[in-house]
Amino acid sequence: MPLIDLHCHFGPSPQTRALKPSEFSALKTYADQFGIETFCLSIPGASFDAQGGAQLLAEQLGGDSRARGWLSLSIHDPARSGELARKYLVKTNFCGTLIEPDSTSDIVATQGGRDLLNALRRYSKPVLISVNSPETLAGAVEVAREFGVLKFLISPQNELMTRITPAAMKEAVNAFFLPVAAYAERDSVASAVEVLGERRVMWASNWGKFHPAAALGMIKDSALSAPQRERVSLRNARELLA
Amino acid sequence: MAATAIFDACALFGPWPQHHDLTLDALLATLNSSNVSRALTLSTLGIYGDFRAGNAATLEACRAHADKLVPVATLDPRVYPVCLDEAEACAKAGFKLIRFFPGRQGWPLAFAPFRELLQRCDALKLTVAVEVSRPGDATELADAVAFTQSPLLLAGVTSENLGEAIAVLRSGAKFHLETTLLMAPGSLEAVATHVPNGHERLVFASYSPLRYFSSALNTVGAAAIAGEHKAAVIGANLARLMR
Repeated sequence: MPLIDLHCHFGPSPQTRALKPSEFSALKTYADQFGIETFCLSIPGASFDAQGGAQLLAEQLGGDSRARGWLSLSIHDPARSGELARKYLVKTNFCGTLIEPDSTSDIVATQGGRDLLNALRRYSKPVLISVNSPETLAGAVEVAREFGVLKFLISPQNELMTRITPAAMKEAVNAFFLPVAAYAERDSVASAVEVLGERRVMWASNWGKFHPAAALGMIKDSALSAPQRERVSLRNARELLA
Repeated sequence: MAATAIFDACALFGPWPQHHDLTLDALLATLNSSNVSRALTLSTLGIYGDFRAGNAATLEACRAHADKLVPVATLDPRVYPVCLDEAEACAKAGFKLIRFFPGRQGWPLAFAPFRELLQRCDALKLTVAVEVSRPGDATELADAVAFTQSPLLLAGVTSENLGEAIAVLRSGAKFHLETTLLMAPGSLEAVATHVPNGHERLVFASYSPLRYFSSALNTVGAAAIAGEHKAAVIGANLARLMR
């Protein structure tokens, strides 16, 4: 079965600082091996250098027709973020925006976050928000409800957040759940489908930070029917990226 | 991989916070469907409740499923000096391995009762596994166990702390490392490369049924290490430690 991988990471990250960084050619090999139809990349270093990260990402995206990019933007610099959005989000191989709140000072439901999301409305591309605390999750859910015209992916970054995110985002019907296998207890995927329905749960390998074998194992072990599995690992993402 | 006997270093049953109970039936179903031949098993009552009740529940379950489950005890050094007596009782009851959960139970590694308990476990020739998930934990543990001889398993190490774990593994042959959370690509390869006989120091642990079994096993299966070394990681290394 083909897959769409909604989040891969290219470049050094905290998870790989003691390891040799993966080459882009390894990403292509992974995509060939597992029948990945499309993979969506972000650059971990863009969290502290948005401009350099965007440039590096644009260069990598030219290397494979299956590659799409998440443009990392900061809520603390809406003017610079707006410039980068104007430059990159008009390109077809940029699939959307990545916002990674690191602490309560980065909560997206603030003036800076709202200014940024307002600016992003014109591009009609999804916004991927990672959440690592109940506060950052609440902020993501709040803006998802407020900006109904945008589609949001919410990706929890620890086990507690993976447990509580589906219920917290249930009423934000334009928000989709994107679990990370490294932070997923069994059976987070089936539980999320039970809470949100199979149309609001998606799949990513987080290649680059984590071995895709872990995320493939998560999908294999999930108590989903065949149509649900196809929805989660392919069709929902295809519709989101269309 | 499929033909290799899998010996899982950590399987669980019992209550778990903010999670459905991890039932013994669910554990057995996972182990059977995943072709696990044996699993070191403990009751989570020993982590979050009374370790004596947990150890009793573990023994009961493992006696009922002796073909598959091997009992592991938990001890909590905050329950001092009772924990010293329980260590003796565990050794007499046939436990070979004791697990400690400082992070989940909220006690520091630099802790006088823990140091004494480690001495007691070492004298009783009990292998210990210690959760060292926070940066600096593995280093503190290595300092605390400088005097012990028995093998020691580092548990809960993530790829973010892998550099520290490798340094500890290189400091002494008694240290071994669980694979569960080493999910960054190249993690197992890094241990195999940078640690003398590194492939002999890695031990597969799934934490089933709390975590996805296939995520844990696939990560070992996909590692770029020799097939016989993978077989050692998923079974033979732990079998050697438990002899």
